[in-house]
Amino acid sequence: MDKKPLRLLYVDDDPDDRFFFESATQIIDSGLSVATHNNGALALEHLHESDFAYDLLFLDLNMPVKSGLDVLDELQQVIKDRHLKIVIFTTSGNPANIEATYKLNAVLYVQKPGSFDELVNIIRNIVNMHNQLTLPVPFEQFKFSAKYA
Amino acid sequence: MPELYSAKNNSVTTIQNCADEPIHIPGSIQPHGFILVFNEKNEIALCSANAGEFLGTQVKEILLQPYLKVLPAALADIVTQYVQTGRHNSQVPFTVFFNDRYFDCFFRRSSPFFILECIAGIEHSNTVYDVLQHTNELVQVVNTRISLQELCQLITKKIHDITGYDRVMVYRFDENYNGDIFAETVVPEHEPFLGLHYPHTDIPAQARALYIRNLMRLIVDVNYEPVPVVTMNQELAQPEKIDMSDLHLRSVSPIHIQYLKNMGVKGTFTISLIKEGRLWGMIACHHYSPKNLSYARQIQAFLQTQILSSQLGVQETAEMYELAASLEPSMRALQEKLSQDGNFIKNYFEKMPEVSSITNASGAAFIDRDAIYLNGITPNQEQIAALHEWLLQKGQQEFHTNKLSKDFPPAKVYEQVASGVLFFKIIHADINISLLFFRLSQDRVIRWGGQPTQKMGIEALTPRNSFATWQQLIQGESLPWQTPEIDAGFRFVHALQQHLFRLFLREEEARVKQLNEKLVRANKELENINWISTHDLKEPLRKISMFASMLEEGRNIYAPQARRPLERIKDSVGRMQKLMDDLLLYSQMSQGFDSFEKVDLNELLAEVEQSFEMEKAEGIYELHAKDLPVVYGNKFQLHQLFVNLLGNAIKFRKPGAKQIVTVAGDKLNKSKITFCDNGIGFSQNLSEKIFQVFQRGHNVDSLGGTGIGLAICRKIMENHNGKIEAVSREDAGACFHLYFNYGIHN
Repeated sequence: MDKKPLRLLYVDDDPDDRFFFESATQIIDSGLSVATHNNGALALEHLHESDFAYDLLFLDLNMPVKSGLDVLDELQQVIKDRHLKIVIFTTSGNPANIEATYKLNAVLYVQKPGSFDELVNIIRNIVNMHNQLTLPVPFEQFKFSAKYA
Repeated sequence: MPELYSAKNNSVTTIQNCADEPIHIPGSIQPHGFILVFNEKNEIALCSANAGEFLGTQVKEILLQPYLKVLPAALADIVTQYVQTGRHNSQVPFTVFFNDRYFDCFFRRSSPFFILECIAGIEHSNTVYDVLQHTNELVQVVNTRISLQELCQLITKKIHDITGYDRVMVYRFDENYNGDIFAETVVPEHEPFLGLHYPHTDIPAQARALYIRNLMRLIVDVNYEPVPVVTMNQELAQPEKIDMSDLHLRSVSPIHIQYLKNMGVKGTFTISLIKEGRLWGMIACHHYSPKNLSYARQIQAFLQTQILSSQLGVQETAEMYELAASLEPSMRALQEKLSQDGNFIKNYFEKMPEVSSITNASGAAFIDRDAIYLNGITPNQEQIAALHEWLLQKGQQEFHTNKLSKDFPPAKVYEQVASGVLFFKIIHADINISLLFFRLSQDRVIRWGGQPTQKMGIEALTPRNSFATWQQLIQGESLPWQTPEIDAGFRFVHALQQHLFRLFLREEEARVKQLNEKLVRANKELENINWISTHDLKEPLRKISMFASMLEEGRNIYAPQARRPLERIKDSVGRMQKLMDDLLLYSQMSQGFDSFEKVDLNELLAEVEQSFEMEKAEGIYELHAKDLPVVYGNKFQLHQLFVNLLGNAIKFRKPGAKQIVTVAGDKLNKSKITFCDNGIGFSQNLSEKIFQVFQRGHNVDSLGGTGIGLAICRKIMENHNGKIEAVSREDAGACFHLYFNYGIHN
């Protein structure tokens, strides 16, 4: 088992959601390395500076300055060569968003849940199966559903 | 020897009971002729006391005697003729000669009696040619253009010529029966009365009634000694027994006689002027010494008067017509502006002189709810507002007066500008709108033939005795409103009403247009609800839910009292989320849809049932579907419809019993399907309410309804141009009837 801790980067302009995310990851495994950013531009800068030293990028879509889609668009060239996997983490269930992010090479589309239990379960699932999340993802499996849980 | 009884009315008449005086049954006659009253046996039952004198015998000799025995042959002959035929024209007398005199004789039926009236002749009859000549002259004048006053003046001259009275007058009544001398021909020795006024009390109502009944009345000598009518039958000695109202010789009211005596008149002759059944006035002939007039001349004067009577209506109609025609140009000017598009009241009412001149008024006011518009000379706004209040309280659609301050004392202060008021109420869209016309006070002097307010004597038989001319200044009265003026006002009001209605319609149209635009905007905003509810509303809820569930994670460290509130927060949030999802769905369904397709409801129902697999597995319900049609519709919406109906049925099952849901088509009506269950049902009086948003048939929170599900169903059916109806009884299941009016597909 690779002892190297899994590195997660969470980008969301909503401080509450960042708090939920951090709290949930602490419950799952204190060994997880978690960083957060409150906007897409800062996150991109940080990724470049750290030479993409992350395993999973959880990306909100609806953000000021630089939206999740903008970030995805800029990252899509580099993703193929890196092991960084992008998980969309949003309240939107809009089919147009699902399609757009799928095309921009995100690996999973998650709608933010309504309870903390669920959130913990979802993140735990993603962390556990992160190795299976490789491109290309079949579209039927792109949207996260309870069936994975 | 038989006793003689007099039928004369002996009761004392005083001025206070003047209105009750029984003057139609005086029981006495004037002395220039005599009467005989015959009973059923053709005996002379009564006669005037002077009958013996004229017949050359004694009254006692003829009373109770058969007429054939006691009357002169010439007289007896005409009585026989009357008894046999009963025919007699009361206008044309029998002329009979006996005892060296001519008599003009009239018969009158006064059941069970008949009366023979014989008036002593004073001259030989005029030839028919005299009558023809006078009449011809008059008719020629009538055919030329001549005013009513000129015609009346001419008549007085003619009658003066025919009768020889010192003074011949046309006495005219106003609407209150005050009189004035309208035309007069008088001999130079006497002062003219032309233009003098007399109060209505001079000719009381029952006297006027007699003037209508008997069109002619001759008083030969005001100092006559009334001749009593006598009988030997005491039962007949009552004035009520025989009505003598219609006799030419009828005795005159003592009050009237005294009145004439006070005026210094000795002999009079009057002819009534009747217009449309109403006493318009009289021809009054006065003589300053006693004067008898042959019946022939009376008739001749009467004929002239009849020509005048026939002209009264014609003349007045002509004058009214001219008045109406003179108002027509104002009406045309107003109508032209009223037919234009703009608001007449705001643009023209205060500026156009025609607004007042349409009724020959000096000013006008239009009173709307919040504003008063003025034209010409008027009282001020507050005065008009107070007057309007009073007029509305009268509750009449139209009201007019030419002495406003008499009816409405506060108007005294502005009587100079508004003694005359003509008021019209305009009902427009339940709002009181009024139009008022004003007329200036027309100060004038009335010359009374004696002071009209003078106290009358309290002694019996004392009418007023002063006829000294007395002048009165009349203020606070305008010219009266004439019918054509009121009619013109009414036509204006009518045109105004139509104008206002047109304006109202246009405003309404604009309002509807505005409302439509508002609706379109509102609908656009409604579309935004999708966005708003997903983001702005749903986000905070999700957060509350998250925080609550985070707290639950650590529930063990909280006091037990904190757990229940925590659960309640979660429940409420859950309900709120479901509500918003349903509202969102409802608003989506409200937007209708564009795409139609054939939908097989059998297939659709099978699809929908998959959503309730769990409930089916648990044996909570059983679904029986048969003969469902294929309809045109929107599959997405119809799917939602079935989900809601089936979900509803499952939700409202009887506790512990399996819910049997039957969905069936209708053999007779292919566009109808029925959704029935055997659940708890609801009261039929809720069958409409349950389709409204947030209305629930059951107040049971545990059933978890949002109160929107059936509203969505109705929306969907409306989108399909159909309808949904509910039939149920409490505890007896529910049925929903669905009608698809887009028809079915075979």
